[in-house]
Amino acid sequence: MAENLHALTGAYVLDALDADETAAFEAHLAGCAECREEVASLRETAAFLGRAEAQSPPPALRRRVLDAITTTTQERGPQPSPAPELPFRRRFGWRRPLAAAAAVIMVGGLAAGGAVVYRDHRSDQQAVAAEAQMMRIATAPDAVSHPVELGTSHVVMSLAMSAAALVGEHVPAPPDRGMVYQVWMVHGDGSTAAGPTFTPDDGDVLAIVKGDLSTVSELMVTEEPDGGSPAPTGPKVAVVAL
Amino acid sequence: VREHERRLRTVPGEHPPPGTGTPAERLLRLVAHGDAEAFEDLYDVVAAPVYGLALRIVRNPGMAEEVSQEVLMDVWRLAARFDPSRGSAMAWVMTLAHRRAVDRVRREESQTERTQRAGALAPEAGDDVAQKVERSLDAARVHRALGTLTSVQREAIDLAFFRGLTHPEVSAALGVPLGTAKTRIRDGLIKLRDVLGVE
Repeated sequence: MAENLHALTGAYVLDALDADETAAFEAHLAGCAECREEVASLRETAAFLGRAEAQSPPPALRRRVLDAITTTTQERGPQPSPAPELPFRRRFGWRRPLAAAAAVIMVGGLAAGGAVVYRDHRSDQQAVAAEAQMMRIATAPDAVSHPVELGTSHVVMSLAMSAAALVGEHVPAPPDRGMVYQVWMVHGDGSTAAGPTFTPDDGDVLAIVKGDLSTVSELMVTEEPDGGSPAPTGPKVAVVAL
Repeated sequence: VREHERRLRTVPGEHPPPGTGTPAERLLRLVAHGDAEAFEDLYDVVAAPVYGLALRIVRNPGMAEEVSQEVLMDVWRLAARFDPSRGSAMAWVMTLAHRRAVDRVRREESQTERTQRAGALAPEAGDDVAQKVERSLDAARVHRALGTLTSVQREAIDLAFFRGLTHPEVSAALGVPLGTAKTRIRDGLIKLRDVLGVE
């Protein structure tokens, strides 16, 4: 049987097998290094034949294809190696340097309520932008850091930059399904301003808000329904006096 | 920040280091990471081979263009599947192109049509394979290599590769037993591989 299947390498490479034969041959291929090697070399040969037919396509095809890819999602790779899929922790190099610098968290909120929302389902680009913001805050001359009792987290803030970042790891998921964490700025008079919502990504969190922090006396984290709330409604998870 | 950049770049540890491989492989690895500019460069490397092969198989410029677009979109979508340990980037792209073109021609034409057409063309199949010879050095090498095959080997490869015939159809078109058809396809390709010096 194996010998018969081996004779199919050429027909397989030229897509000349029917669906059943293809399935049988591919099953054989998985366990036959010799056939895999032969298939690979015959594929190169077939590609050589094909390449000899090269002809320039109509120029319009180029624009059409290049336009189409901008709206076409790529399939994720079989391995976790492509950068966009790396776990948060490995995706960024900040953890070590910042931890060494007694890092950080900053939470900034916009008094107007236009809080920057930064969540774990962010695109890579957003993640990189947020990381860059966080680095700028943490390296500001007036940056101060406060521990937060939420996993292993800190708030780093800069009054001069009117910005803060909440950064942490080992943060448990919100206890209630479908809920998220939300940061609040609590002013001296007891009024609150909404900050960003966030959920841990493999235990990691990073939330950034910009706004005037000079009148903020404490930062508070609550549990809120997905999407966040205009005013705190859920249980208090952590409080940091500034 | 430098540490950050270094780690970003070296994290895909199983991958060959940047800068190794053929230009097409380097580009394809970048495309797998969503690099649209690399895709544009890769397009310029593979579009003509893809379109030329599609045109040869479907024999209709409009259809060949549609097939090429599907193939090039596959390249973008599926780039992460490319595994350099299993072959070259060009072979990976041309495998996608051949499959798409053959699927298309099989949908468009019934088996009878393809077999009849193939049967009518079979006597001059050798010339047909080689008709575009002088276009390039590759083509000239292929032409010479095809000349070393027996006529049954050459015709079997022509029918399967460029006409989209399955191996039972090849056997019917050439009037040879089924086992002979698949054996001739295989040993013909092996001969071409050796004559062309393909790794």
